[in-house]
Amino acid sequence: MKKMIAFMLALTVMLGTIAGCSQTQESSPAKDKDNEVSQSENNNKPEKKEPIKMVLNLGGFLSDPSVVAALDEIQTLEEFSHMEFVILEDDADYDTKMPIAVASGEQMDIIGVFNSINRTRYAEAGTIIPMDDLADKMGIDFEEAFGSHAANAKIGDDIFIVPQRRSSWVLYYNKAVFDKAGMDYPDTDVPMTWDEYAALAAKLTMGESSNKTYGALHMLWPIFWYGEAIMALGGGDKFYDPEGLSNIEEPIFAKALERTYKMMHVDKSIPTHADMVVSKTSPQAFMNGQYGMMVSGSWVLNWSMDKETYPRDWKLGIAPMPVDAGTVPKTWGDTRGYGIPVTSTHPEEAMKVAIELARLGAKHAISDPASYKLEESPNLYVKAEEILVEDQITIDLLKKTFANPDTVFAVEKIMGKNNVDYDQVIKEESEKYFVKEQDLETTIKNIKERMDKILVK
Amino acid sequence: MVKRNRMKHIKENAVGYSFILPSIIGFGLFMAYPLLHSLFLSVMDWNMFKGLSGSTFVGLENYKAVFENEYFRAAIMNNLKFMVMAVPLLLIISLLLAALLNQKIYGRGMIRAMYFMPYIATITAAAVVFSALFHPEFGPVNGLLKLVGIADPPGWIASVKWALPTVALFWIWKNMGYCVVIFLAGLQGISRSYYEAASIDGANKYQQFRHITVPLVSPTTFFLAVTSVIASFQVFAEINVMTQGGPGTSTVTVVYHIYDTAFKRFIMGYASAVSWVFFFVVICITGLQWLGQKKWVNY
Repeated sequence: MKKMIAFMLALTVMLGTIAGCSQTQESSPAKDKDNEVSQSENNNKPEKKEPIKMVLNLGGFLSDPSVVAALDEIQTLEEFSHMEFVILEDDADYDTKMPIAVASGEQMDIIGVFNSINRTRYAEAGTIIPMDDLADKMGIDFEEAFGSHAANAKIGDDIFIVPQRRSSWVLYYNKAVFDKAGMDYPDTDVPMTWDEYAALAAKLTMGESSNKTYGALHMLWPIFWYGEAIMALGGGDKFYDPEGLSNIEEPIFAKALERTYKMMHVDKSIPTHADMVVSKTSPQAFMNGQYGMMVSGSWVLNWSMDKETYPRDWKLGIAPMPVDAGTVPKTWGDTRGYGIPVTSTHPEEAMKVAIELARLGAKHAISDPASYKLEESPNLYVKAEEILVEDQITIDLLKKTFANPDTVFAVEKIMGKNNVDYDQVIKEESEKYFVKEQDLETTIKNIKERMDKILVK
Repeated sequence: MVKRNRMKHIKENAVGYSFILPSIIGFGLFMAYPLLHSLFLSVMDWNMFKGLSGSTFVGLENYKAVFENEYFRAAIMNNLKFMVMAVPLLLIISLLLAALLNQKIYGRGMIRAMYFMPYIATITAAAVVFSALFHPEFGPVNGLLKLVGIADPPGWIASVKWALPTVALFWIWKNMGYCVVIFLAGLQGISRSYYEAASIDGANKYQQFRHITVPLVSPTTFFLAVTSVIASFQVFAEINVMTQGGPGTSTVTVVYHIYDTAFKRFIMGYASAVSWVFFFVVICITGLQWLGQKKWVNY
């Protein structure tokens, strides 16, 4: 037994040594001589940067044409010519695999951070590093470069992402469904209220079972029911009362929950929660023509431009988001951006790349205003107008709907203490209500009790 | 002579050890080390991104948190319910099917293969098919129930009450093929002479099954009971694909809870503590089964 242990230890040491050797750089007299020669040659040339590898894991960002164009261009720029860009492919399990890869020490220099919930998760866990010092070294002023989006790059006082863009939701609609139902298209200037939207969805609903056309498509994302509430209250930080406890008893939350429930079970104008769970309906389902309306970010606009992947025989329309009350346009969205993981081997260079990608993203933006404010976006909506000419979607309409300066913006995700838990509790309790296993009062009461218990800890 | 013998003995040992070395290395690297490492993590507030430098020793705090956590309580209850629902049903159905397939029936090979198919199918594909069958609104199962006069059939995986039984049903359907094959092997080890003797004594088919088959196949039943109980506690992929713990927390199981806290919330220390608590729960249940076998297993 002792001998065996000794043998195992020896084997471990030997393997360790071999592994160590494989990581050390080769050096030989011949190589050193070559280096001397090349160094003397280089004395007469401008200083050449050491070649480095830059690993980017951007997940779903890669479906954004402006990001792809930015990645293509950055690799042609002289300033980054010493970098070998390794761009990892998008993965359906990005949310799980990426953090594990970082935790296991895999080199990643830039990652995609999709929303404020993930930004909080990654920042609190130490997946991504704060960028303040890196920004100072670069001499970049975030407020100047990113305007109002700079605030959304922070957790507390520290910057954690380089904002890429802030999604802005609009109302998409299928003109064929409206025509068939004999309904007027939504007004492109004056938003309807959520109550009007629900009534309209009911009127657009036709047919039965597999031939059914729904008035609207709502995903399982909680924003689809609580959106009205944060619009009315002013954003994701309004999930908390002044004492820092849950604000879920604010009547607008119950109203929003009930409206969604009625659309599912009374009007039957949206697929039920059960149907969505079982059929695992994706947001792309809107492109199949079976839904009258859908509120979403600009990704639907990108899909509608991609007629090869999403062929359709119906015309698309866009309008301002429904609002809680009044005629002032309102919307919600969230900022996504580039984070630098703790395993970045070149954080300073990664910061430069992230800023440059944000700049180039603005330059190549076609369907969403970029977060970077110091670069023009000459192609914004131009390509969309060209491709969507048959849908009668013009640049003016796109600008008016997506980038109206008068639109009141609310952050769509829960912003505050224990927001990851809050998100989970809301999901668990609301789905019990939507599958008719719990009444509205109990749902609100449970969210309040469970969250207060967590928040006072 | 003695020296030569000793050398021979050493050589023989060396050969023996060299044969088991790959297994020992594999076990050490992929089982023993992770096991011990998780024990270490369970007493730490472990930051998986910063390693030891970003982590602190917390003693038994994580274990205390396990017993205070509402998700863990819900998960362990769900696991126990799942075990009680699924394991006996799996064994009973599998034994009955195996007994039927042990007869000389037409197309026996094909039928055996059919029952084995779900076991070798990928969980995701099988779960999608199963979910479609049990779709609360458009599924053929509920369609049939409505036809026979049940106006408000269950919501299956979309119902707090029915989600866990539905997943259990899927799990039974998926694992039945394996249990049937094992039972068949057990049944084929029972001598025909017992049945012939019973038949001469006037025992009918049910009596033969009850008093010969069931007792003599009990070692196989015990083996499958132990492995199925452990497997039922390890249920994860079915939950992850079909329900993701919902609706509410009605299908959160312990392994899913471990996955959620470790890899979605990065709370490694707590997740490791849950793993160890869970390990002891499974050990205790297996121990009880082991003790109980004296009463009903006939070797």
